[in-house]
Amino acid sequence: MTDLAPTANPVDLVAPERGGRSGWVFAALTVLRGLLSLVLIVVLGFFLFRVLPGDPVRAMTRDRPGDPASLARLRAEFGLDRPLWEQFVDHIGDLLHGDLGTSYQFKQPVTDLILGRLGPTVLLTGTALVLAVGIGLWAGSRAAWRHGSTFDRLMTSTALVLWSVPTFWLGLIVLLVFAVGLDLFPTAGMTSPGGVPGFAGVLDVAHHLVLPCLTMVAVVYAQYLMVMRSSLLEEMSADYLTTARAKGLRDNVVRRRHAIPNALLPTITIIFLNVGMVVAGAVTVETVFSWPGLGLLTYQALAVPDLPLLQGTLITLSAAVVIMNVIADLLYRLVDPRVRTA
Amino acid sequence: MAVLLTALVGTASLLTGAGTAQAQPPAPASTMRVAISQDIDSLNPFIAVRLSSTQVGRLMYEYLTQAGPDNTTQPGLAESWQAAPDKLTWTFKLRDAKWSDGKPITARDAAFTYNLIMTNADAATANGPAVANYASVTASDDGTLVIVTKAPQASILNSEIPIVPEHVWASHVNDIKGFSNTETYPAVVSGPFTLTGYQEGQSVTLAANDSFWRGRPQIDQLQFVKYENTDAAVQGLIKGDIDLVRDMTPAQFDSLAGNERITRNDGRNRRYTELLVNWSNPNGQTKAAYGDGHPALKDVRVRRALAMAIDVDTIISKVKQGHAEAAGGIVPTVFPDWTFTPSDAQLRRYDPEQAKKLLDEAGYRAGPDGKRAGADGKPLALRLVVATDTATNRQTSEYLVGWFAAIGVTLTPEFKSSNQADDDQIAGNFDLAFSGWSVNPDPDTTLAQQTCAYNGTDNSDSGYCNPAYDALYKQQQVEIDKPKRQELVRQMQSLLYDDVAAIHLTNDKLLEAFRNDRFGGFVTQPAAGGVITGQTGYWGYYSAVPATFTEEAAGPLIGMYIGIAAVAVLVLGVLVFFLLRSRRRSADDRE
Repeated sequence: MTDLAPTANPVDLVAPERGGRSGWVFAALTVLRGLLSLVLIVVLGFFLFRVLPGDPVRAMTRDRPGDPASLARLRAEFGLDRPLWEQFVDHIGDLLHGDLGTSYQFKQPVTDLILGRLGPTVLLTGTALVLAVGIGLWAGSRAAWRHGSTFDRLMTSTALVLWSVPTFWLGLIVLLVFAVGLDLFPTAGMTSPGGVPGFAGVLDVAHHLVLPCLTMVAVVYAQYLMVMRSSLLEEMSADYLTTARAKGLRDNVVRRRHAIPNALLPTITIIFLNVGMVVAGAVTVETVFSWPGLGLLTYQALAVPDLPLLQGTLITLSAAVVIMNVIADLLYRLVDPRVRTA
Repeated sequence: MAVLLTALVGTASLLTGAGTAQAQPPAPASTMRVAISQDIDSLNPFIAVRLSSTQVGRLMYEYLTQAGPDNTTQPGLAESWQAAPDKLTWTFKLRDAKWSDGKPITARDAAFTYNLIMTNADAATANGPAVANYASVTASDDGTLVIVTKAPQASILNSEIPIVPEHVWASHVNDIKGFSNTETYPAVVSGPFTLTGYQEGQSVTLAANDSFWRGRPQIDQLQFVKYENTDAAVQGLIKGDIDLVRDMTPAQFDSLAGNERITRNDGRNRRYTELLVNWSNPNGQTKAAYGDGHPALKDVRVRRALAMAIDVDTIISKVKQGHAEAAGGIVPTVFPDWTFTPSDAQLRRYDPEQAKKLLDEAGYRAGPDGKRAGADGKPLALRLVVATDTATNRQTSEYLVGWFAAIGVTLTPEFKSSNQADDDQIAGNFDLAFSGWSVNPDPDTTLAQQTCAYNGTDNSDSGYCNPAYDALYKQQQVEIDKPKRQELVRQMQSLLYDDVAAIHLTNDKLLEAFRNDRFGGFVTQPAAGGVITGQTGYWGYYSAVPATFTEEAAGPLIGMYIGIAAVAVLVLGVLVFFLLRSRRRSADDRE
């Protein structure tokens, strides 16, 4: 997915010969580029997953002796006995009809499975992202402003330690302390078993959300902190800050109104890249807290390998990333006038 | 921030709305919660194949006959049965029993179910092989079911076909695949529990069936709760979020020792671990050459030597921490009718010296460095395929390297993902490999696996092929007389043992634990020292008895409010902090 990264420098897409080409042409080009990426992903994904080791039929019947005839029947049902190109043509045809196929292991339409997992994933990773960005930007700008101070050292080192800690381990520790030791939160799932109706149900989900969200924020906020800190540090010596101070502005205001807006650009890039990844969920956190998200579904698909489900999740996840990149490209021109006139 | 919170609460309410298909009745007094680590693939008994789902299915749908706690055949919906002298026609007399909706269970329901599986390919997904040998199934009256088989079938009483109510399922025959069985609650069932709720990827809720013919279970509700990892499940057990955990590692099991609220159960189970020895026999279906196994393994003396170089007792005590038994034959000891114990004369004991002698005889002599090579100078160096997902196999492989080195055989473990290891085993690209299977109360499918036809197929094992064994297999398949069949099965396992079809290492115990302050009375299978979960039957869950509750009912709720209050206080604190700060800013700051 590295070919999706050039958001950091969208300038080269703006045609130089006509000065500022109309924003619409730029937008159309960006969207087209996104679509092209998606097509490539679909094609690559299909063939890539078929190179994966493992035989879905064998994996699904593992531990359960069956006779060769019934296994052959299963294989025919999945279409695995047909030539690869036929399977590919079928897959593309289905996709054009908006049909992602039927999961081998869950015997359900892939679209239903993915939609069912999308909500929990967006709730968990979305909440965690908002909190991590908030905490990261706040702490990062503070730390840069007073770089070298105790606050800076404390913030940076805490964030980096949490960033380096294995997520699985941290999750289990959080579980051990807050769920078992202090008996404040449940140990698994998104709701109490069976679910709770009404407003109590909302509280129930919120209650289940706390620990996985906390773990996720703890692990990822460091990247926002570090990016914000370093880009603000670059701005610190700029002349316009001296001017702003000379106007008699308080230090905090100089930081907030002048320095931070200019330091935000790289941060926006990384935030949007991560918004795309929100859909991908967080396999590790979802595994520790048994959160029924998309990341987990992808992992379960990979274990078989459940080809239709894998293809479906790949398309969903990459579509989210591509769309967010397109939006980031477009947003860039709005946020920073310099990109438009370059 | 307030906007964010509103948005979150909004999303959460949408999600709970989606999660609960219907308003829940007030929680019954005794709800037993069981942690499961495997996802449910389907709750439709015609489709479900995974252990997690078939375990739920066993609780919902009764069979004609059922494996009892002692693994012998017991009556289910059928009160009695009889085979005609031609050994092809079986007559089952059904008992008076009712579906959970009050309608009578008749032989017509059974005939409907069997015929659906026999005629509808989708309905055959889960249980097709069990009826493959049936010629016809008819209800001669409401209480009598007649099954005619194409050839005599000894395993007919263990077919385990969940019988569904015709008055519910008849309207779904055209779309068996699309019917999830969660469309209407409660499901109409014949077993001890009925399905009342399902959250995909999260939980399955079952309620006691008042009409169950053996009598209503003593617990009111049973929930299977998805725990992605057993570490978290063990913590859930300690905390009390769940009441029963299964399939723990020895370390997790040992960590629960001394907790007086928790009873541990290392249950004798129907699963074995073996070391495959590549026979390099041709593919059983296509007759194509099979894999790249070391030619030395074709010599029975080499296979015997390898088996004698392995100290199974050490594997049991050091690797399995005592939670296993040595395996004699292919059928685990929990099936006393079919298991096999080698006679003293044929028994192979751990004996490295004898192993060395056997290798010398086979022509693999030790060189000056102690490593053996064949007459052609080719070293006796073997590869061992180890799937990394089973920690105990990984540990065992380290011991094996040492034991084999002691007799001059070089062993190189190749660690792979289970999918890669499977690929290697099907293709025959291994010398030795870890494997293991669960065995059913009727040994037929397990014995079939060792016939020539299975070589190189998805279910192949070592690639064993012995015409004498195949002949015995065919004989036992049609032998209706049990003692005669037992003798045939014994002879077959004796052949497997003498030929070293594979090196059977251990019968592994299943490690379970439950909250004894909440539930007890579990009937295990086998009754002496067996398992509570993963049974071929419903005995464990059906027999559960609630302990006298000491805990106040509001327990979990209080925790929830404290937790939410803590978070709310934190959020409020941050808000107040920022509000106060913004007040402090003076008007001078404005540009």
